[in-house]
Amino acid sequence: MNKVLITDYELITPYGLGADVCWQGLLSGESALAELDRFDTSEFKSSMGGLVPGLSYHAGQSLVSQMLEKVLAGKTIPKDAKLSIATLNGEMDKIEEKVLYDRGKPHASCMTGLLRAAQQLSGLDDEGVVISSACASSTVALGVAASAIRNGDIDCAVVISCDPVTEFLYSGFSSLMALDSGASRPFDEKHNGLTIGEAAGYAVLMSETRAKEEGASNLGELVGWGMSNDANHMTGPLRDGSGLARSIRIALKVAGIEEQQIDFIAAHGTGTIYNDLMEMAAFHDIFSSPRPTYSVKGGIGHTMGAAGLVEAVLALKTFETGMVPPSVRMQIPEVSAAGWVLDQPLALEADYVLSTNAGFGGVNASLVLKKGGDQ
Amino acid sequence: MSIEILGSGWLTRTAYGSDKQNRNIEYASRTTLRGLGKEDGLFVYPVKNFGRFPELAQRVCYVTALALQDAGLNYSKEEKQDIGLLGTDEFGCESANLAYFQDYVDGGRSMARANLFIYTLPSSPLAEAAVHFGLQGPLFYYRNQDASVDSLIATARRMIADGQADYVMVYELDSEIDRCHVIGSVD
Repeated sequence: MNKVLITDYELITPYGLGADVCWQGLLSGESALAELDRFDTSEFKSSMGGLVPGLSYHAGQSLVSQMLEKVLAGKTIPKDAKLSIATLNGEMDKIEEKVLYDRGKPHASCMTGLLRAAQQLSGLDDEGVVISSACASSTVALGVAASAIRNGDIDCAVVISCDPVTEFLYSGFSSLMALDSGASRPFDEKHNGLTIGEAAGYAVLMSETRAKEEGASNLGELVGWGMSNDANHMTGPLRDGSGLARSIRIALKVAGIEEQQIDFIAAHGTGTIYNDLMEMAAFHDIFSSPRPTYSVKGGIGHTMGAAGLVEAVLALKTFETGMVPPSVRMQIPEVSAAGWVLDQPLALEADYVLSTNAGFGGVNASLVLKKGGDQ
Repeated sequence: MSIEILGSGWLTRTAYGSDKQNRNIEYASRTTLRGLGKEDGLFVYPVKNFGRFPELAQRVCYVTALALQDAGLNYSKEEKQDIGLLGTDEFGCESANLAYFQDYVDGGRSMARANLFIYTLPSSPLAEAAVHFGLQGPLFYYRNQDASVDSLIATARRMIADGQADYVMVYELDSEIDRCHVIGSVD
């Protein structure tokens, strides 16, 4: 079995361009969530969102395409890398333009178009695949790519992920009464819904052998991945957290480690009551003692299909810096999160992190990442 | 351990069947697609809210039932199984997306319909099948440029080898014929 190393990454988030920019924003405790001005929110439960600065809406180029252009600019990704695009629903603003203005060719919003755009922007030979698993999309894509490398089927992959804030998405979550009326407060005793954010990013995965040959950096090792489904309800999670717990157990088994070895948890933490309680139930079930836990969604919002990749990349920053970020906007933890979820940055020399995500259709996905080092 | 296709089900506008059992049943002259489940007893127990599902989700449920039967796998309300679902199709959830947003715009852009919104994910039809059949393995939509199923089957094989699931249902859904294959190990 080949080791799977993460050798490169980058993000664009509501804090701006750069994983470092996002990381510093989270450590500062300041939220990038703000009043939306992209579309009229007066009929919705909320008016808050996490927007990437400098994007144009309904102006000829999709939001996803603009984000990918920025995040991939000047980057060199191995041309033979296997390409995966992880997204909830791709270029949703193209659907809006079709309905509102009758703009666009037939099937312009379909994901094969996004694949072609990502291939061109990244300069890869591979035509790529789209993976969509609701809000666990990029977590699943990382697991699928890692599995192919570990089994020796490929030796290099890039997972690109992206989802925008659109009226399409906002109106839907509002109809489900899933939005916080203010900005979201994951794991806070007053948590009452999520805030939608947008982001794009990529991570390059290589076999250890290939990374050594190329002299690539070992920014972290993807050692475990687990995926499961609640098989219970289209929009609500299993309240006892057993579905998510199942994905965590599988990820730990693939990693070949015990729960005691996990040093901190990068939680999904959407801010909805159902999600946060479900997730804490899973953690209480799996772990014999509390671990430092946080959600980034009070800082950047729920970035949908991109959330897993964003959170995995940011978890690697803890290995690099020795700091665990706070769960931005959480002030007083709800009962089951007390003693787990951080309201301040924490200095921690860590070797392993668990990163979790869940989504519509009952999907759950977990990753175990190990601290990187010298080749 | 060899991982192979254990059974397959298929569905068209006029007929349905399965490969190992060599079934080929014409239905179009006597019932509709929507009425098929009840009249031909394709489901062991009724699918909750089946009439409200979009057609694609109904088709996914039919081919799931046919494939499970063809592979000799039983299912029940009481017990979930470690079976994953991976699917590909031509246009993802494009028609559901357009239907949702057009309805929202027609309604004055003030109130969207949640029951349309939940199908604006390409994985939603698979999720309906997961709920009904109690399939608790990995679930995701997977689309390459030519919608070929070979890489999907290879992914399913790795997932079984990784211990993510005991079996994986692999779906090829398109306007001509829907297929579902059960991938699993043969000792």
